[in-house]
Parts: sequence; C-alpha cells; structure tokens
Amino acid sequence: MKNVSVVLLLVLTACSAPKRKSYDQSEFDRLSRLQRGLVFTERDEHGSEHPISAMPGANGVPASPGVVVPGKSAPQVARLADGATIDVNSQIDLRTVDALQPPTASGVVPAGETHTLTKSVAEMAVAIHGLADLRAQEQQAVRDWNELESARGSQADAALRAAFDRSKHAAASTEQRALNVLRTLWPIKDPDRPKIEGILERAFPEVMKLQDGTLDRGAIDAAEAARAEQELIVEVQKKLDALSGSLREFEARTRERAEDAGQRLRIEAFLIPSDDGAKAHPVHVPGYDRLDEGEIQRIDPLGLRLTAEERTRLEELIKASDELAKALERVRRGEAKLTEVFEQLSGRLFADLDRLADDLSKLDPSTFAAQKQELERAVDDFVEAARAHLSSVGEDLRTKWKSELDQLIDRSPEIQQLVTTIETIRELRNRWDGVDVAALPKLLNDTLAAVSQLVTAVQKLPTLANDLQSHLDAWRELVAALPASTRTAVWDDSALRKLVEEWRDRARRIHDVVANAVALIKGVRAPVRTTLRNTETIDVPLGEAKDTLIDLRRTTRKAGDHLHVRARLLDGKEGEEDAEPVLDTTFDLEKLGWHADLVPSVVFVEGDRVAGANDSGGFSTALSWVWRYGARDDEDDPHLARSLGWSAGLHAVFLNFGPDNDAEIGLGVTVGLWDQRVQLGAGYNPMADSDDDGRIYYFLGSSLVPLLQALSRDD
Amino acid sequence: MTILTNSRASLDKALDTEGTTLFLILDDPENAGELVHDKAVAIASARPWRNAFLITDPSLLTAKERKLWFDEAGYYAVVGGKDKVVAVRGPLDALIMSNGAPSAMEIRWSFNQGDLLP
Repeated sequence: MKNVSVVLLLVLTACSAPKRKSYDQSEFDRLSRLQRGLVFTERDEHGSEHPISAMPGANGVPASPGVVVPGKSAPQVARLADGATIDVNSQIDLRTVDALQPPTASGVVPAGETHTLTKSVAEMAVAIHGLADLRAQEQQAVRDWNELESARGSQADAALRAAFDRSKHAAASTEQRALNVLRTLWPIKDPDRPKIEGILERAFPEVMKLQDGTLDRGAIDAAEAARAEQELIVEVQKKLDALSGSLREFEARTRERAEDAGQRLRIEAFLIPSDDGAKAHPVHVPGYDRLDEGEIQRIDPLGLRLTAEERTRLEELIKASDELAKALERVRRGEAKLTEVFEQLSGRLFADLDRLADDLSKLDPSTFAAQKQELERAVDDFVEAARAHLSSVGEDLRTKWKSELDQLIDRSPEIQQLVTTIETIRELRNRWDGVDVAALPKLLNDTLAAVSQLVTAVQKLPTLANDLQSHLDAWRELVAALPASTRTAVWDDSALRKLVEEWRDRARRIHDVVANAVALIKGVRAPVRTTLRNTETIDVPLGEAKDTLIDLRRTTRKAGDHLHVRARLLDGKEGEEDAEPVLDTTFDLEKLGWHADLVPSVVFVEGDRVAGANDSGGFSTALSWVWRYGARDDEDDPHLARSLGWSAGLHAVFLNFGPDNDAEIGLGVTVGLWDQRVQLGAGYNPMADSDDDGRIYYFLGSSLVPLLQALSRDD
Repeated sequence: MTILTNSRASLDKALDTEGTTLFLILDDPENAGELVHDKAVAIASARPWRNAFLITDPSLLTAKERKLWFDEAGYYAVVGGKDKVVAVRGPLDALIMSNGAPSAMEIRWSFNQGDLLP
C-alpha cells in the first residue's frame, strides 16, 4: 500500500460476556410484583430453552424460599432480564408466577407457600396411618433390649447392642412422625389437645397408671385400643381436610381479591429497528392484544435467503460502501480533499452541526445571564398585566414559572461543554485540509480524542433535550390553567410567549440533531425503548393472567434490532393508573450460534504483480459471505468469538488494476476481526490475462457498517 | 428409686448403662415437677431402656451437669445416645396443657428424641 489513506476507526478491544445483574435475597424482596412475577425464557427454533430471568442451570430451583409455583417446575426470577441478547428466530416465553398476585391482607404467608402446605397435609395423613406399625416395632425393641441386658459383657454384646439400636430407632421414628403431626395440628395450649391425648392413651394403653406410689399395669383391652386408634385417625383426617379446605379457600380469596381490586395486566411488545427508531412497530403478544398473528418469516442463518428488510438494508450498505470507496479513491488520486468527501457523504449532518453550534453559542453563560434577565422581566411584565386583568393570578404561579426557569438555566454548563467540543471539532476539520503524512498520526489522535469528548457530551444531550421539552411543556400546562379570556387578552401577545416558543423550537432542533450526532458517533444506535402505544392491547384481569409466547418470527426484524416489552399492572377495571412501576425490558436481537452474513466493505486492494503500473492499488468495494459464531449471554467466549469477533468466508471484489483496464471482479477468501472492522483478503482475478496482470491480489479493509449507514442518510 | 433426694446412685447406674434414655427434672416446688415426673415414669415403663428422674436437691449434680442439663430449677432435659448428650431440654411449663395436666404426647416426643440419638 503506497499511501496511508485507509482510515481505521473504532477498533474495539476484546469484549467480555455481558453480565446482567443477579439478585440476592434482600434485593429480590425489594423488587416490584412485575419484576418478580414475570419470568422470561428464550425458546430457540430448535425448541431448546435458554434462561433469561433465571440463572443458567437453575431450572426448577426457586430463586428464594416461598416462591414456589404450584404444579410447575418453572424457572424463577433470579436476575435482570433487560439487555439480554436473543436469537432473531427465537420465541420469548413469558410466564406469570404467583409473585405477580397482590399480597394477602395479613401479608404473612407468601402465596407460593400454600402449595408447600398442601403437600405437607398429604404427608401428615401418611404419618398417622404409620401408627399401625408402632406396636409391633415397640415389642421388637423390648425383646432386643431384654436380650442385650441378659448378654451384657459377653461376646454377643456388640451385635445385640446394634440390633437393639436399630429396633429402638425404628419405633422412635414411627412414633415421632405421628407425634409431629399431632403436635402441629393441636399445639400444647390448644383447647382440644387434652381430648386428643386421651384418645392416644386409650390407643396405646401400655402406659401405666400410678397408684399409691407404685406402678401398676392395667389390663390391656385390645379391641378398645383398636377403636381408639381408629378414632384418632378420624380426628386427624377431619383436621387435615379442614386445613386443605382453608388453603384452597385462601388461594381462591387471593385471586378474587385481585379481581375485585380490578387490577389488570397489560403486556405490549414493540420491534425497534436499529437503523430507524421512528419505524418501531407493535409485535403480537398472544392473549394480550388483538393484533394479527402474522406469518412466520424465518431469517436464514446462512445469510443467503434474505427477507425484504434484509435485502433493502444490504442494498443501502452496498451503495454506501461504493460511494465511500469511490470518494476515498478520488482523495487518493488527489482529485478531492478528505473534508469535501466527508461533507458530501454526511449529507446534512455537518450543516446541522454548524447550525446547532450557532444555536448553542447563543446560550453561553453571558447570553444565559442576559436571557435570564430578559425572561425574568418578561415574567414580571406578564404577571403584572395578568394581575391587572385577573386578580386571582397569585404569587404561586409566578413562583412555579420561575422555578421551571431556574431548572432550565442550571443545565447551561452541559450545553457549554458541548459548544466547546464542537468548536474543537471545527478546528480539527480545518487541520484536515492540506494535512501531510507526517502530521497524520497526531491529527488522527487528536480527532479520536475530540470524537470521544463529543460522545461524552452528546450522551447527556438526549436527557437535556427531553428535560428542556418537559420544562417547556410544564409552562404550557400552567398557561392552559389560566382562564381563556386571560390567555387571549394577556398571554398571546406577551414577550414571554414569544421567548418560550423560541426556546421550544431550539429544544426541538437540539433534540433532532442530537439523534443524528449520536447515531454518527456510536455507529448504531436507534433508541432501545419506544413510547409507542399499541392501540389493540387487551387489559387482562390479574386473576386470569396467563403465560404467553412472543414469536419473533412473526414480525419484520433483522439482526441488530431491539424488542421492547412493556408490562403494566393497572388499578381498577379501567383507567391508566399504575398499581406498580412499569416494567420495561429490552432484548437485543442477533444471529446466535454459527451463522453467515453478506457483508459489504470498503477495501484497499493491491495486485501482487501488475506489470507497467506505478500505482496498482486502489479503494474498492467488496462483498463477503462470512461465517461467524454469535455467543449467547451465558456463554463465555466459545471459539474466541467474543474476544476477537472473528469471521471467515469468501468474497467478490471489484478490481481495476492499471488505468487502461476495464473493471474486473476478483474472487477469494476473507478473514475479519473485531466484527468486520478489520478485514484481510486475498484472491484470484479470473479476468487477468497473466500473472503480471494482477492475477493474485490482496486487500485490507473495513465494513464500517454502522458508520456508513449514518453517513449516507439523506433525510 | 426415681426421686433423688440425697443419693444419685440410681442416676449414675442409668447414666453408665449403654442404650438408656433418661428424662430428668430439676424440681421446683412452684412448678408441676412431680406431675410431669409421674407421667414420665408411666410412659417410660413401656420401654425398659427409658428412665425418669426427679432431682429435688441440686447439690447432687455437678456444676457441669447443672449447666448442660438445666438452665434453672423447674426445667427438664432428656439425655441419651452413646455419650448421654442432651437431646432436648426446656421449662416444665412447655409440657403442660391448657387444662393443667402434663402432656403425654410432649413427654413421648422428648423421649423419642433421646432414643434417636446415635
């Protein structure tokens, strides 16, 4: 390569597996009902389940005691689901567990423990029936004891002792299981306890009665003992039946309470395309909306049978790659300057940045101070005029408005930082004009540093822009609260209204440009949440809430998009009041496991031997079909896929060795690193006449997919 | 002799015999020590490896025995197993039902805990 003309941007270092927050017991107890009550699991197209809310390998094991789902061995919430990566062809299994239900009035018994207690009731019945074996076991133990006593000190002593220990334990265990049941059902101070003890003594009449200080064994009535034993079993069964009934009633009451309280569960899902968040659309959640199910559209893991969406995006990327390659080639040949190329390719972006800087430069501290005074004067004038017209306009309205104003002014340091950073970048653009090779490394360094600063400043801007708009919206609400005649007579023509609208326009422009700037710098990124509403949603009464399965295959999507699931627990039978904080969960859609993609890239390609040409290399566009491994969140770094982001495959590339040759196409192999940010290739030019005609070539390049996409947008 | 007033010979014999389980009460005149003792003797008689002792004179016990077996007078303890360790202990009041009578179920349960020791 003769000229250093290829710009290697944003080479990422090794990525470790993303770890989502896992909860300990105290953190779990503080989660909301929605966070604890909705369990996400991914089901891939082969039917295998991959835990999202649960920890891997914890299937069926409760995250914490008391949270047991009756009759199910479903995984439980053990970690944050937000931010999980799932395959583009998967389904999301969303299960509702008992933690979603409202607590009981006493709040004492976790709803899930009713299942444990119900199970214990059955075990109790078994223990009581075991008393039938006790008499025989006790007699065996007595026989073994007597044998041991008579053989003390003899050689048989140890064996007899072991036999006695076994029979003693057996009798004690059997009796203990039954006594545990009786003591649980009738605690020591229970008024019915003496009655039960009486029955027990009749059932086991070996108990001796004390008479005049001596012990006397009463006559054993076997029939009476058997009747008493049956009577005991009947009493126990009656108690257990009553207990089972109480538990069932408890569960039913809990569910009824939820329905009576009118709590409803609403679940919405939205697909947010990675390249344009404004095109977010609802996704069908079975049982929770009336949207069409849609047809299944599988995304081909081989990357060859493309969906309409994938095809469109690929065409855009190829076009963008081609444009950039041609532009870089013009720069290389001295036919254009680098800055001109950037400006041409970036469309409105730099013009927007200029205008942003102009707008924001009006907001430097001294401007703020002057604006603040002007605004305060306008507020005072307006209030005086309003007071003259309407005596009820009071001090608290003025205080509210000035409070909103103060919060707005407090954001000025952040705006100032952005202005400074944009100034720096403008200076750097001037330095790029006429840059020479010696100065290139430092200039590149300074540019990357400035870009990094811009990222930091810009990252705060969406919040700032949203805050600005919300403050201005608050002002609008305060104005709306005025009587109509006051608004017409005083507000409409006031200097305050004009200033407020000026600020609102400024905030909107800031918001729009910020979106472009963030997409440029971060190389991706549509938002991962949407405020869109699904108008076809169904609110399901909480007692009827069922599990659901969101099938990604039934919606238009591609790798890189996001799925935003929003769950709300609403109070009452209607209305929008939330009983619990809204649960927003976003999933990143990627191709996971082994898969292949068609990847366009900009490459610098050079022939191995090109006779008679001083300049046999140049920028071009390549299209590679590459294989790679998409690691799941719970996989560490299989095949070093995460560390190196490697891929390998085949390519086709446009070649043009020597100025007299027609365009040719070369075919070869490609190896990519760090998610295609670096590509190395080598291949064969079948159209070359000889080896000296550039039959063998090599290239170095980069896909720069997200950057190209952002730069080539024309809207 | 199971009421120990001035000699602990029978207690020592029971402690030295392998396989026995002992229900011990440190008497307190204000508690139902005697009632519980009588019930425990009756229950124990069905299984000859069991014994019940009512200790009326704390000085018959060593300091270690007093500390291991009882917190204070009016308490019971069940010892058993190869090393005659404490299986269960507590106040006598925990063995009395709402009608004031000692609970056979609680005494049986305590004896069983001693029988189950290794």
